Amino acid sequence: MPQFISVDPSVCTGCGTCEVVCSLYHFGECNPERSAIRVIRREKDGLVFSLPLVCQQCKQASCIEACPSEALSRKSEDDPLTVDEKKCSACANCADACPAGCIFLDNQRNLAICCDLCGGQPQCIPLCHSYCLTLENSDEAGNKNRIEKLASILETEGLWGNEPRKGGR
Amino acid sequence: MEYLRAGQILRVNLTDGKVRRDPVSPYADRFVGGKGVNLKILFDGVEHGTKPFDPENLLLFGVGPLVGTPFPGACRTDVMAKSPVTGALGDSGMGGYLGPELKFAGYDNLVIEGRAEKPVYLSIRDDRVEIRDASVIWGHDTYETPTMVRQDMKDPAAQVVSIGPAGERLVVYASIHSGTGNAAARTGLGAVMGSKNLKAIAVRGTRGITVSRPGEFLESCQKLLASIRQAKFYGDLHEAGLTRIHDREMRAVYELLGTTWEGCETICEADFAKEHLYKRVGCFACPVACFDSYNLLGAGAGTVKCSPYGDLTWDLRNPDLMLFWKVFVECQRYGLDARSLSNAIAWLMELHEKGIITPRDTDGIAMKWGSPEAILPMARKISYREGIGDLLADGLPAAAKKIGKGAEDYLLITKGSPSDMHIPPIKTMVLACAVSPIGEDAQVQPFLEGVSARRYVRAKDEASFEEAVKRYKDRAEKEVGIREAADPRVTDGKAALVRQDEERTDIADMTGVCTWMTSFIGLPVDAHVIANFMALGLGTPFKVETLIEAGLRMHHLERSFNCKCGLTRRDDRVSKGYYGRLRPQGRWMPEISFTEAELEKMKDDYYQIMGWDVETGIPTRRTLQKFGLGDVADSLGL
Repeated sequence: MPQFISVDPSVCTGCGTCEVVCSLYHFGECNPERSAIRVIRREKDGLVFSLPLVCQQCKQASCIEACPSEALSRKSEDDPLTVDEKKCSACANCADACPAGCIFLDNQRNLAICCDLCGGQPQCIPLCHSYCLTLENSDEAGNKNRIEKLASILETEGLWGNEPRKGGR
Repeated sequence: MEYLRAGQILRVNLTDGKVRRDPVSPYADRFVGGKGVNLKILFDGVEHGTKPFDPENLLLFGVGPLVGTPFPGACRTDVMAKSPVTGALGDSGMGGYLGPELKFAGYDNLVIEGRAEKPVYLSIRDDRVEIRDASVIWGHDTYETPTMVRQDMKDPAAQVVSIGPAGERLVVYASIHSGTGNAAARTGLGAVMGSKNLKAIAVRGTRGITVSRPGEFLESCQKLLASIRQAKFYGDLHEAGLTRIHDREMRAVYELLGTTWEGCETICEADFAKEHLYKRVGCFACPVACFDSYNLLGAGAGTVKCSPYGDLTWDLRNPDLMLFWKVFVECQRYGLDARSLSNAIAWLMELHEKGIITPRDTDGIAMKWGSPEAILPMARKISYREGIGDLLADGLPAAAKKIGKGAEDYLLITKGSPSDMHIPPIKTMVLACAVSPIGEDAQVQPFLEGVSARRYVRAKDEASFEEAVKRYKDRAEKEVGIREAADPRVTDGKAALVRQDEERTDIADMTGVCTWMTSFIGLPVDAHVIANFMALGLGTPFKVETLIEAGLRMHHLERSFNCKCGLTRRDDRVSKGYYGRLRPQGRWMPEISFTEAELEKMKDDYYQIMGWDVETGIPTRRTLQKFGLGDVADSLGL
């Protein structure tokens, strides 16, 4: 099973550092709209809600199943999800299929974008000041729960269907 | 490709609806960004005779080159205009998320000119810039407004800043707010926004900020974060915000001021936070996250940091933090500067104590120190210009004139701007306030004299004092070349200490880094660190000297703008209330306080350091030319 970035929503301050670190590492520019981790940050009545969304590397991944062009795959069971740039048509079916919307679109290249764990050393983790993000090993039992947990937080906050910042058309 | 900068200055004229885009590059080398670029545009664009509420006044938002990158704490937006409080430079920085979003939309600076016929808000979505109707939103507070604007834009992730009822009514202490605790609160910029009929600014950007050497930039960010985490106060800050540090600070300050009263020892921000904290939040890319959020039944919800706790408790002799919270939430909602409010209330309380005003003057309310009945209604009264609030809403000097009977003598203001009441008037602080271009900049607080003054008050005798301050004198000698600068009893070296601290804030304000990443609260970001990141970001050598010189250039320009508005040496003063205010532990200790002659002496020193004319306080042509500001000298007729 691949590793994944675990999210502790209770300590996220909403600073968005992870977003710009991700896009800077992958594309040489700071741009939350080109990041594979995206912070849903909402203000209401003087208070802030924030939650980083990043691929949880599900074994039974609904994004892979939803892709009509077989652009999403894993090299092996232990590797993170990858997007085949030649095959991806940016239809966003994957983003819609993910229960927590943890796969995004990069509108500049017109491709889906998904956490690749930066080749094993995720750059966002050491720059997250609040220890919200940690690299963990998957275990089969927790597999489904992780993504469902993020989805349920979104649901509770009334943010699902509220077009979280995920690009899209 | 332009690294670190978005590349454009967006100019929006609300009178004719025209939108223009200028390149930022002609400004970049000399003024770096953020506040520096704002200032040059303000100097060139606002004439001597323009009044703060004239359509010709400019309202500027400037974002520095490091903002939008993962540089820790680079999140600031500098907001500027001609101020209705001082009649000269109005400038206030705000953190939050507006700055980075403006850059992601493609703009380093936003310039708003003219006046809309009816209430509008400005919507910026990359290239799509729209002036939209806000007549339905007008009248709503700064919590409701962002929500309504986002609904209107159909974009829940747009970053929104707005004014509340205070700004709409041109209350000179009105601020510009994000929905969650960030505010350009000082110098009345919310009122300038109100005078333009501009209710809110909403931004959403989808572009990137490029960095020349991404790998090294990221690696350096990791190293910098590690060194921030190792700093002495960091653990405390990250866990408890400013509350614990501020509890100690307020006690130390009031030990110097010598005002104690029954109940003051019970004030404990840390306990309040421990009991009630809803969540710790922070600004874009900030590793400190200094904001405390509370959601208190019957008292309201909101987000706060640092000084308002003290403004609304210690400064008003109010021991009740729940009362502080109620008033603070009102300030947030109405868009009112909490510090100006607390200064105004304290002034009325002082006048009441001295018998200059009676309840008849204040809508039947007895303005007794610490009285909840006196404190609670004032935010609303001022924001909505009700009763006594209307008198205060045009500024304290104007109110003092109307009240008469010597009320003016009790004001605690500089250049018309209500001061931070818990800054002790020791020599460096008085000088810093007197020469500050905005009346008072609470971010400028020279460390060495402050800490020595505290030692002096606690010392048993001269020998133990000298022993206690030896290391501060050593530092003063090393850092500004004058050992006695750290002695609170003499004027020597005080100007140098003030300039040293101004240099620190200049550099942070130009690049968009929060000054709280610096030695201000013991964190390690300084000119060297910033210059190094500028070099990695731009991909060209960037010397620390270049940065320091640009900071000084900006300071000359701030001064020049004020000279253009008619200010000279005689305006560099503090109000009468400052004199004799320092009474350490209740004792009169004139040697660590200041006299008029001492202040004038320190001003001489300061002008000499700056290369300004000592007689008038106006920068000399020679100095301006040396910094490439010959056009500014021309404009001032030098």
